[in-house]
Amino acid sequence: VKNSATAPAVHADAAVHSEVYELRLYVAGHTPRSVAAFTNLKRICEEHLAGRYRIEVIDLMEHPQLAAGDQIVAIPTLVRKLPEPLRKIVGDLRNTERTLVGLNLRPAGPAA
Amino acid sequence: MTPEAAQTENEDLRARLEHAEDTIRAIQQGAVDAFVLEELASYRVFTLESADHPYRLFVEQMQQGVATLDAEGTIVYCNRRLAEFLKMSRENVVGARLRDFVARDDLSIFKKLLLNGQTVARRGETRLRRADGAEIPVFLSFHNLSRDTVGLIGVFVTDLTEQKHHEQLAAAQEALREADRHKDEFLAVLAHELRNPLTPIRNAVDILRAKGDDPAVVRATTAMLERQVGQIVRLVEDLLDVSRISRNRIELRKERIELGAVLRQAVESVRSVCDAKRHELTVALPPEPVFFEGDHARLTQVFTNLLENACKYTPEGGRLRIDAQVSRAAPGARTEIVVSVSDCGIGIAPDQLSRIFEMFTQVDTSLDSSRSGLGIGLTLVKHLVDLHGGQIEVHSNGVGQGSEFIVRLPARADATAAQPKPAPAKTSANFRILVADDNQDSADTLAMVLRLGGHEARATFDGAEAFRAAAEFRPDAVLLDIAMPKMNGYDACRRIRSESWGKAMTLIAQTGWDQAEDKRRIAEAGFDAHVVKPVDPAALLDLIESLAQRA
Repeated sequence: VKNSATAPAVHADAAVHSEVYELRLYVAGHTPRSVAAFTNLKRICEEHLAGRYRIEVIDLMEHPQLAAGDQIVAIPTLVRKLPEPLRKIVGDLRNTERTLVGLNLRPAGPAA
Repeated sequence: MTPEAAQTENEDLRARLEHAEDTIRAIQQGAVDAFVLEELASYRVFTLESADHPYRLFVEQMQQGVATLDAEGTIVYCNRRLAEFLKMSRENVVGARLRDFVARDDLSIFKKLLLNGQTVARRGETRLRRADGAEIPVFLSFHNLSRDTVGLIGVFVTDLTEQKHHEQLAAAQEALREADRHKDEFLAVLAHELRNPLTPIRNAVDILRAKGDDPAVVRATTAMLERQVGQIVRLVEDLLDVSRISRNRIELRKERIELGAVLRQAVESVRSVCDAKRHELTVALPPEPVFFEGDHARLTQVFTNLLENACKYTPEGGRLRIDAQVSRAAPGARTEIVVSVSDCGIGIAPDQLSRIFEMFTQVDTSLDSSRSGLGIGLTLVKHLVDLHGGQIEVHSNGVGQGSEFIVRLPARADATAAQPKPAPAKTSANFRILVADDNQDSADTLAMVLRLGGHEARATFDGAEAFRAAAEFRPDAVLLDIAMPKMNGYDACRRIRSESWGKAMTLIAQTGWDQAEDKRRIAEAGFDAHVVKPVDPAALLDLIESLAQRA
């Protein structure tokens, strides 16, 4: 079952950040980390990408074969399909800074 | 390799390394709780135990029993609730087969649900046996747990005890409501039936007042009075029998009796009703007398009732038949008396056949006077036949097809051996009789009837007066009512017995009730015998005579 959460694309600074983020979250049913990853992702997107993101949730418990496409090993895993290049972030996205870096919304710090 | 290609490969390797490090960090931090395993291009997802924890809690705490069965039907897992339900430790439940817990009588039902580890039906009711032996109704629901291959089966066990309890309560409530409705109908019929004889009786008073000097009128009127009073007495006796049946208080006075005598008496008592409707009644009795153990009066009542019904439910000019025989089907088999009462009347609809012996049931509940009755006759008949260890069955091919009632009574093998009981020698002595009853009309009229029979009789209206009269009148017999003012019947009896002249006096109690408790108190007070109101003078004289002979 695929779930899409599409927010309205109109935003004040749409001219600056006009790119639409296509995100795909791989989960395993309702395991605690899967649920946490979805909650964290929604929050981060609303704060930083309001109006220009689309999340597709793929439940590998229901459709394990869909793991092949993005070569998913650990769950949850977030895949940034757009903008290119494709990026994967493994885990429940508990670390907002790291997630923002992974999504290319923050420049990588010296420690990264 | 060009510097650009090397640069691209380098970036790619760095990205892969970063992803690998990212993955390891996430695992170490516990930020992932499931993994995808690939085997021959087939992917399976495994979750860490911590990921399953919420589900486990859920399954453990749910109010339904849950078990997982393997292909052989062996329980490989059960939740806490199921173990509690079976009153066993979980260790003992796991490893057993689910069918081991199924109540023995329900195994065939269970097999329809689960056979050889394969679910046949997905859900159904059965009973499970607990460790303490109790068998509990449950609802089982089976689910295949393996997606692809046949393997694990999940089963939900729902305890139906409470639900069954509610269902029973609802059914009992419905039965009570039904019984209540029947009683209301019964009371309506009863009021009607009691009022019917009152009109001719009231008319008789007027007739006798005006034409009391005309012997022909007196004769006709008294005959009518006798019939109507007989009707009321029968109704009241039936009513008492209803109460006795519902309190299980009917007792048989069993003795060696003769079938022909019983049936002839029953036929005699319906003769006038039969003649009035111009029915043709055929009586077929065995050629030899048939003796057996039974209550003569009660069995007469049985066949009178059946014959009356046949008369009542057959249109004028019908054919009725009573047929009696002794059956000895096989050597060593029980000897049976089989009496059939059949008619060509209105018959019984098939759906009524099973209910016909229930209390207050009447085929036609309308108040049509030609089919009047309290609807208790057949209930009483069945009860009396049961008490005799017999059976009664009813046959009818439907409405308008007539009906047949067959009574089977156990008899001894020597039933037809002639052993006539010696008839008691009758004398026709005259007695001095004292009657005590606070119903002055009852006491006066009974004394009057006794005097008309050539006896000396006196009436008194309370216990104290009865004692004084007994001392002065010195009667052969005293008939004492129990509930009387000033001194009740028990005390009057004791007072008389305590006197030297009263030791040998015949003392008879008369009462409206005949409960066992009263009988005991009557015997304790010193009475010789006990009669139930209304007192039939002829029967009273027979009793006094037999008591006098005994003394």
